[in-house]
Order: sequence, then structure tokens, then C-alpha cells
Amino acid sequence: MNLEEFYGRLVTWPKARECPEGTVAMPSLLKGRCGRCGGRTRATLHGKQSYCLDCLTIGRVSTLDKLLTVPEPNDFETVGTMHWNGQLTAKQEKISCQLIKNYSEGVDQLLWAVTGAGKTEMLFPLIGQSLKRGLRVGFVSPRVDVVLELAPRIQAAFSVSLQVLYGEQEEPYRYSQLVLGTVHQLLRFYQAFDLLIIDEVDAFPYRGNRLLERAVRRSVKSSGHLVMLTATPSKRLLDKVKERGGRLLMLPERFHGQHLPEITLHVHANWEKRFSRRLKQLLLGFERQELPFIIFVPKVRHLIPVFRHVTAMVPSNGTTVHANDPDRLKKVADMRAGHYRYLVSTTILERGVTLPKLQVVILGADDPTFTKEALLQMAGRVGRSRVATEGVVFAVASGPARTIRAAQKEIRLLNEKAGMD
Amino acid sequence: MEQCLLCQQSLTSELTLLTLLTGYRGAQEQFCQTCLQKFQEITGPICPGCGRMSGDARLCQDCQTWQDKGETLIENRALYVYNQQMKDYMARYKFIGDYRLRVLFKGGMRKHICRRVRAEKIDMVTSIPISSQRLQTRGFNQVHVFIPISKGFLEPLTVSDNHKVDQSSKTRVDRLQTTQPFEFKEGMEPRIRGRRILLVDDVYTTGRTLYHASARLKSAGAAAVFSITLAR
Ligand SMILES: [Zn+2]
Ligand SMILES: [Zn+2]
Ligand SMILES: [Zn+2]
Repeated sequence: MNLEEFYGRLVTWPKARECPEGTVAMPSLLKGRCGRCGGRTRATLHGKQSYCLDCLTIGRVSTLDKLLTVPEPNDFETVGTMHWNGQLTAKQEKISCQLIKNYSEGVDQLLWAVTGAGKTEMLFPLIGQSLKRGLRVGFVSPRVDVVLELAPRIQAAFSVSLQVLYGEQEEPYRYSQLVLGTVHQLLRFYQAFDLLIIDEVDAFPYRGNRLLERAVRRSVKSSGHLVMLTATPSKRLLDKVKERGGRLLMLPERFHGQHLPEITLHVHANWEKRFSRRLKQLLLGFERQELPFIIFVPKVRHLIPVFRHVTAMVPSNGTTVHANDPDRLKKVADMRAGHYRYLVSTTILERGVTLPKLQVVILGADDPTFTKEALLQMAGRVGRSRVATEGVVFAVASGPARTIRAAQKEIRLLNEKAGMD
Repeated sequence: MEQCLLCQQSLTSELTLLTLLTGYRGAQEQFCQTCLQKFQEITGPICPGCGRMSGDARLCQDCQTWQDKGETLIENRALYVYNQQMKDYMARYKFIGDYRLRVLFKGGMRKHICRRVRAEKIDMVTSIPISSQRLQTRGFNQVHVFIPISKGFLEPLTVSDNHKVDQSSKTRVDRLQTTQPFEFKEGMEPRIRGRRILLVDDVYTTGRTLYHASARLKSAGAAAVFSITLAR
């Protein structure tokens, strides 16, 4: 094994094997906590040994192991450079400069930008500058879909040694200056990053997950800093950033300057059994104008019945998607490639799917599965491209639930705020 | 909430009265129906040599080859087909090392072994050994839990570290050409003479490992050697 693979990492190593020279060993269990994830849930092995269940999904850490690391030396063969030369709008530019300034002043920051504000591009100058200075940069998201969507954009914008890390991928780990991956992958890092960017901080499974929050803090060097991104911050998140002395940046406007699409509420209680006339007309309209659309449903069990209703009236191709669907990533790629006109999906696709001219229908919008944040995210899929800034967000519910009203209100406020600057 | 140990989906099934009273959870209650249904039991006619399913109950090509080489067939019997689900199970149980998964086939294997012990008048049950280094890193021998201790369990064989290279990292040809990897533990050889032995392993793939173990045991005078595996 190459020593580089230990740089800023936590590598599980059997106690029975000799450690490579130059590595630092840490215990796999300390005061009842897992040395990798800090969890306390354990299962026993034969004899007195045990292993951690909280991080088992990324491989077993047992009392038969120790954890090895080599302090991050920032020893890259070449230093990355940016060759992105896209244009930022004046408002994006302003935020982008603030990000750089705050980072150089050594504070953590939270960027609250509406869906479709162009968060990623605003970060490019900060990333580019950090790479040039020989810093190690991590860019993570709780959602693998988001990571996969991000990878080609990052690859196109920088020439840098880059690793994309997520659970299902097979390639072995290699040391790189830029690391892209799911938040879970941070469990395998130890004081590695000078700059760590977390996209979608408010998304499951990161949101409120103590172990992952701990992993984030530990993967950043003590001299490094965090940039958190969100379109839908919870009150708790805003409070926490303030409490820890972080700074808040806000961009209430989409990059093309047009308003966020508002949510149209259509009251109809019986959508599971049959579609209302108005809903049918809407879908037939999408079909006629060849507009791609996603129908969100609250539960997996709604997928097939709703899909049947749609196939009965819409001749174009479509399919269903849910979190444990093994073909999920492929189906989304196929949708993007135009092989499907529509998807019937659970909330799993509330983020990460960006498609020009996409329209959104939310069935059972008053179901508790759909939080205010989820509704904002789903609505945020619509009208993102410069060529199609408008579109429909059609919510079907048995009544005007508190969550729906809150989401509608937040969209109106953000739109007003965007108009004011 | 309880989750399926294989797919992490929440288990919706209600706990049985036994569980509520004793806190003991049976294997079935820790796995979801979807996962359980993907395992395929071996039923109907089988190859008498290796125990794989076969329409006509005749000796399969692989077993024919063993016989042509002069081996006495080991008459392997397996409980399940080595399908994708079983491969995934093995990956989690053996390679990741999630020891909780042992409960899934414990009862089934024990029952199967007891039945075979009676039918073939077995007086010694043993497992294919794993190397001491493997044992130290994995923390368990994956088949020990399947063996009822009361049935004359003895582990006379050992395997050295450099011999038992991970089977899955070898090609089929490599595996077939491996030379005898097993040795007797100190003082064990004299205890083999005249015994009727049942070998237990997790998966029958090429049969190479089992035939090696069998040859070693027979060289010490074993009267007969049979085998049982979880999957074929
Ligand atoms: Zn852990
Ligand atoms: Zn399951
Ligand atoms: Zn056969």
C-alpha cells in the first residue's frame, strides 16, 4: 500500500498486521465509542471482540483493528488550476467575493441561495484560488445524485487531481487534491481539508445526524474552514451558524433574475383513486407541448397506482423511481437524455434533478412526508434554465396544510426580497 | 425501529408472542420477506456428486471430471443455490464480517447436519479451517456456528497463511491447480483412523477445497468422508 493513501485518512488496519512505517495508529474503540464514527451501537464477534454498527455500511471497524493515518502534508504532484471562464452576474459576483474574503478571514460560512441561484459557479473562484495555493479541498453532499451531477461540472471547470467517492463505486481510493463525494465518505478522513464545502446541508441523511456532523468537523484541519450551502435552511441551522460565530450570506435571486415559480394549490382529496379533470388537463397539456414532468408522491406504495393513471392518458414513455430503486441513477440519466417524458417519484428526486423546461406535480402535498423544505426543493426544479424561466408547480392536496402555506409564503418573500436589491 | 439486517428496510412485521415474552428474536424476525424470498432452496433432483440442482439427477460434468481423476465422490449436499442473493449474503457475512448474519442459516444448517449424521452414521464433524491470520482479522470462522457441538465436532486440520489465498481472488484455473493446503494439527493424525467424517463448508464452488481436505483425512485412514455446504 502506498503511503499517500494514508494522507489525511483513517484506514482500517488489522492489529495482526504490521503497520507501514510512518503511519500514526489510533484506537478503534475509545471509551465505548467507535474510533471512526463515534457511534456506540455495537455487535459482538466471537470471544470478547466487537464491531461498530453505526458505520458498518462503509466497512467494518472492530476491536481487532486499529485506525491508521498520516498527517495531511498537502503533497500533490501538481497543483490544480481553474479554466472555467463563465460569467457571474453582478449579484453572484458579489457573493463570490464575500466567500473568498470570509474564508481568508478564517470563518465558517453558510450560503443561503434559492434553488437555481447558481451556487456551484459562485464557489468556483474560491475553489480555484485554494487549489492554486496548494490547499486540499473537499466538496460533499448528503445525496449521491447531487454528487454525480456535480462531478462532470467540476471536472470541466478545473484541471486537478480529483477523486469522486460514494458508496456504490468500485474504484480504489487514490490521493487527490480535490475530493468530491457523499458526506458519509468523510468518516474515512482525518484532518485532511483546508476547505470543505457541504452542499445541501439541510438534506437527509446529514440533517440532524450527530455522527455525520462529527465526521465533518473532524475531516477539516484545525486550520481549515467550512462553507455550507442550502436553499432551504431550517431555523435550527441558522441559529447554529450564528452561535458558532459563522457568517451568513444570502442570495434570494435566481441566476437569470426571474422569480421562483409559485406553488399552485389544487384541492382534491381523492387523487389516489382518480385524477381530477383539472389535473388531467394539465398533464395532457404537458404532453401536447412536449414538456418533461415529474409527479411526486408521498409514499412508495403510491408509485404504481399513480403511474397506471398516467399511462392510461399520456402516450409518452415514463417510469417510477424511489430511494431503494437499484436503477435510480440510470433512470434519472435516461430522463435527462430524453428517453422518458415523465417520472413518478418519491421525494428522493426533490434535489439534484435539473432539466430544462421541467414541470412539477406534487400529489398529496399535505402529507407529512412533504416538509416545507421538501416542497421548496420540489418547486425549485422548475424554471431553472435561461431559456425556460417559467413553469408549473401544481400541488394537489385535500386541504391547504400549514406546510404548503409556509412554502408559498417563503417563495413570495424571497421573490419580494429579490426584487428589492 | 427494527431493520432488516440485509437491506436496512424497517421491519413492519409484528413481533411474536415468544419475542415479547422472552426478548428472543428468531432469525426470521430480523430479515424482511423480500430479502428472504430471494434465497433459492435446492429442491428436487440433484447431482449425487456435488448436490447442485439437476433435472435428471445424473452426475454433472464437473463431478464426472473428479471421478475420472480417480476421486471417490464426496457426495456433497447443499441447502441453497449460490445465486446473487447468496453471493451478497456471503459478501456481507464473510468479507465485510457482519457476524450478526450468522443467525440466518444457523437453524437450517444444524438440522441438516444432524440429519446427515444419522443417515451416514457419521462420528466426526469438522469444518474447513481458515488460516490463523484470517481468523485474527475476521474474528470468526464463518461455518463454526452451523455445527452442533454435540455431534463429535473436532478440528484436526490447519491451513497455513500463504496457502489459503482468498479463493475469490483467484481464477477458476488457479483454484483447481492449488496444491494440498491442509496439514494435521499436532497429535491429531492418529485420531482420524476408521472415522466416518462430515466436512462442513459455506460454498461449494469447484469442489477443490473439499477434495483436498478429504484427501488429507483419508491419508490418515478416515473410513469415509462426506460434505455439506450452505450453498452450491
Ligand atoms: Zn463506527
Ligand atoms: Zn431485507
Ligand atoms: Zn456435480
